[in-house]
Amino acid sequence: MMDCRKFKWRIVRGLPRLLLAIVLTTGSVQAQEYPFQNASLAPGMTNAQGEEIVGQANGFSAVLTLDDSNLSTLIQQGRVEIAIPGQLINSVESVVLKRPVHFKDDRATDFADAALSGQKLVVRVDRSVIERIDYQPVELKVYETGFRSVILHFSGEMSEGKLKAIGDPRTDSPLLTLKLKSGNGITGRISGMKQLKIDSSLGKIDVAFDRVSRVRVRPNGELGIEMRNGDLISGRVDGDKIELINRWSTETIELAKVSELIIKQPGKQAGQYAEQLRASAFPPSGISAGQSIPSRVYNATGF
Amino acid sequence: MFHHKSILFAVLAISMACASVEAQDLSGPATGKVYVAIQRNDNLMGAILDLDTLKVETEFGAVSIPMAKVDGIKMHSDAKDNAVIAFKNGDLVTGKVVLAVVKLKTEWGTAHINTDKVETITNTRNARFYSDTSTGKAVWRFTKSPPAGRN
Repeated sequence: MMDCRKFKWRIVRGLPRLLLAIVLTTGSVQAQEYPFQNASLAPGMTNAQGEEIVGQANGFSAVLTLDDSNLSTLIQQGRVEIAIPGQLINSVESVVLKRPVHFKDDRATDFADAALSGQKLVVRVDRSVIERIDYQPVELKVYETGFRSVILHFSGEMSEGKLKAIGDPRTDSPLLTLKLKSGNGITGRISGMKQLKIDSSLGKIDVAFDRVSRVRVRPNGELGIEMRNGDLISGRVDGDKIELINRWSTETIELAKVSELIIKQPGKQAGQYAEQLRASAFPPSGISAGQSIPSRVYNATGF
Repeated sequence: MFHHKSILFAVLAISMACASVEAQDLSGPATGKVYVAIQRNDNLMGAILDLDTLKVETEFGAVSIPMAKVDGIKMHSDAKDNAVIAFKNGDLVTGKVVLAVVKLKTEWGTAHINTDKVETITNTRNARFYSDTSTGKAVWRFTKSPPAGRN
């Protein structure tokens, strides 16, 4: 009988081979290789319970970050395919969908509505998943094995190919992204604020969003607004908080927790908006589109 | 004889008028000392009189700005003859100043300066407006630092 300790180390030694790049394809995009993040898998490490972590072949997630363009593709064309590299065919336990900017890091976990079709796993995502990923990543657990690719199949009600409207553009602000000091963000409309109402050095003024170039938030929650004509105006929003309507929920957010408001100007394409977000030095999420990460580690007694 | 009396009276009147200018009190103005740059490189130093608030028509509406909050004003900042007002808190606001004349109490008397002749009004000698093109578009910025190379 094999000694238990030797068994563990054999698995550990085998880990580097398992931590190979996963190849993901999104729509017609060419396959690209992305390295795994394996920092949490190392021999001799212990988990919170003090048990030795040795890892194993499974326990990986296929992570798909859907930017505006990818999301539109999924909704309009109904599917996005993720290829799984041969070394990990039996290792993927879940599919994680996320947006480049989201409010909560915690994943919402659900069972995937999935079915094997040959060597492809078809995972159906509905409207609630699409709406939720604006708020937090959604992890869909899969229990099938042996698939070489995952097909995300959108089966929502958005047959017109449009995303659900966020708020009401007639009464709420234009779409904007709040960049939080935590590094997260949330996109939506400020409820009931067609114009930015602030108490400034000029008194109480309404600032038209389409005249605004940039809004930074100072540590005390005061807004520093840079107008398109170069004007700089400081001011406070009533109560130093705003109510942001996003696709999933409505959040009341204290401005002291916000570092910047990035306004999506009408007429700007999704790509330009994404560029605007990048230009505002949004910290990288750590996981880029199509990259996979180990979803969890197992202790020796776990299998 | 009558002619000589007239001349004497005229000289006396002029002398009294000059004396009244020199006797003006410079300690009164609440707005403090300002530096006014006028067209053709004329510069005046003094205290602004009778101007507690500055009326400005901005894109946010007509506002009255307390002069105590203002660090500088640049008149004629663009082709539309707008002015740029620099606030003590760093804000910069563009608008049309509703003011025909700036009354400035100087060491030699009160100057009445037409605002269309004024280039800038600043609270400190080194303060200046400058054009910033770092964002790809020329905008006015305000600084209290002297230009590089000047002590």
